[in-house]
Amino acid sequence: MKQTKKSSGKKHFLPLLLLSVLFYGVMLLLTLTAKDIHLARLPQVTASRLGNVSFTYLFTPENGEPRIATKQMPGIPKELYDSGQIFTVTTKVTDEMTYYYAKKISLKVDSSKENDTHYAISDSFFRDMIILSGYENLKDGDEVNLIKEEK
Amino acid sequence: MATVKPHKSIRWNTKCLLCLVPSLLGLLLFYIIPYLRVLYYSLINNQFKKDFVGLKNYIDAIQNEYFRLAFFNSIKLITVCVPVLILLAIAVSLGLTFLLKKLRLVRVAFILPMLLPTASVVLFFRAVFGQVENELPLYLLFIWKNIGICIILLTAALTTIEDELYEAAKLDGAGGFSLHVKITLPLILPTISFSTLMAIVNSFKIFRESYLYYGSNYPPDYGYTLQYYMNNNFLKFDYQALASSSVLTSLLVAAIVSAFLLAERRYQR
Amino acid sequence: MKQLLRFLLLLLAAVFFLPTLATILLSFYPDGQVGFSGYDELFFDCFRFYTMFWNSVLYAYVITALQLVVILPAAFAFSFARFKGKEALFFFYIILMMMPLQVMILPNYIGLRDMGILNTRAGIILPMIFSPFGVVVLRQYMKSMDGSVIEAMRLETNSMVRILLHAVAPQVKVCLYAVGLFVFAECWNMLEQPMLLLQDENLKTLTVFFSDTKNVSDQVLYPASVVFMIPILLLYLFFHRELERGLTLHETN
Repeated sequence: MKQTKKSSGKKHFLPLLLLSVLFYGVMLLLTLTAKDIHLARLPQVTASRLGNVSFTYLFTPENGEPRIATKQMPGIPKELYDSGQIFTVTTKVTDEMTYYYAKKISLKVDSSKENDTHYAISDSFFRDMIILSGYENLKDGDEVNLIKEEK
Repeated sequence: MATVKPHKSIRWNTKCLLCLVPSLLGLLLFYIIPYLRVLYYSLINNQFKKDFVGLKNYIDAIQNEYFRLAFFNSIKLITVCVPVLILLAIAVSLGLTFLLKKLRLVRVAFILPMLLPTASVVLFFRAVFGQVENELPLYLLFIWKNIGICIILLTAALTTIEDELYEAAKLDGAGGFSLHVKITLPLILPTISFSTLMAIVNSFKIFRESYLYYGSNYPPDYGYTLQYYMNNNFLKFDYQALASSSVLTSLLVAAIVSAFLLAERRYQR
Repeated sequence: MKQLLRFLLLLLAAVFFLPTLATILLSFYPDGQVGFSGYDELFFDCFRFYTMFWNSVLYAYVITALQLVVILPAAFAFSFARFKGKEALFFFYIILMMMPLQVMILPNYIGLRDMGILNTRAGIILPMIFSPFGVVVLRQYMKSMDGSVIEAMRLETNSMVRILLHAVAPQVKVCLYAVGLFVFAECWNMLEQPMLLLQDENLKTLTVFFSDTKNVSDQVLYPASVVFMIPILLLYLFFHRELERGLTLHETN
């Protein structure tokens, strides 16, 4: 209030004061925690670029015997690919904060390459960020909370 | 004042005078000097060339069709809304003072709109009146918002009338309606006139309500008041048009207010 | 007959109360269903609401407090000092008080621009502090003040500040509260100044939030309206008695 001189004889003084303090207190609390609460209610995801994985494949040189060769290529975990929930991360930057969204994409795998845990991506220049965990119930366009980033 | 030595009295007077300085200084810095500059702007044609063009800007303003539309709408608002507002306020104040003496809470319903932020209720008004194609919602919003100040003034005035007057009149045979007409109204006439003045002045301020209601700088024609004209000129950086219309409006308001106050002063003698 | 009139009056009061009540009720009714999702979205998705809220709070309280500090001595001067042209100056104050904002917005803008405080908080706060409204109302109220208290105070101390604080202020307390409430409401409702005089979004007030309705979804607006109403409602509940007793504007002689 402007000044704290209050006259006596005001019937409902104390409850009103408490109410005011409560209101401003709640607003203050919300101001400080709103962003964190917002993020906590989003799907928590981690994402990173697909690392290179060793794949074995049958290599037939022009004039010679087929033999087993290995190559390093970007690999996507089999579980992730089979689930069909492949998303990349887009960002939107505003004054208040940076928003992350999940964008569904489709990937082609190179079935000639083999590995126990990963599929090889056809496009060997693929360097996009893929959501690696927390993708179970995501839909295209959902906002997400990006926990860890490895660029 | 008490009898003190002359020089002390002058010192006291000077001290009192000095109390006025902060207010006066601020007024000068933030209102008067800028206003004079605007006056200057209204008399030149360009910020950079600064050729003195006299009243050309004013003539342009008056001939501008938007200014005319705005002016017409503002006048219409005043002539329609203010009488309705005042009559309603008088009726309600009379009712509150004489019929509902016990229920103080009822007054809150009328006074609250005055204080509540317009933005909060505009949504509701829009939802209810959104389809209406004329200025009625705006007029209703104006009445809703401004009845509070009139009621405060009028009820304060009504409570200062002594009961003995009514007793005496009743003994003389007056009753009910005529009682009020003959006694109450003349006694509160100064307050009525002041409330009218406040209402007229507030009608110029309707811009805020209008802007929030129509949600943009270009309301439909019937909602286009002087303030929109000035506001849009402001946004277009057309300082000349804005300056001249500001000065014109200020002169209009000053004239209305002066007329009222001088008339009131004469009435009191 | 009287009963009928009473009933009509009550009905009218209900009608006047309707917009407020409806806004509150509708805030719990987002998208046609009862629920809190409007509030939810407001509190957890709409971060600039908070910035603007605290800006509004800051401006309103600071302007009100400072204006009270300015108008008390000024009204006192009008009441007790004697100088030529006092009534004329007061008349000038009254006329200035009645000017609609739009007339003053250009002078305001130019003044602030030249002082270099255009896009700042000071640019909003300073002009509002010196608004003539408070001086006029307070001076009218001071006419009913008791001069002997001031005389007694004068014998005790030479400091004007003490005289004002201890002899004058207590007597006009009611009016100060009323003016304070009014000024607060005025600031809380301020639209033109933040909109036109501020560029930086971080400095703007909650009224601007409502005027920018394209960027906010509908169901946020009703809850926002309700939250917006609360501070002024609280102050009104505190000071409603003073409001009615302190505004004796009609004795303009």
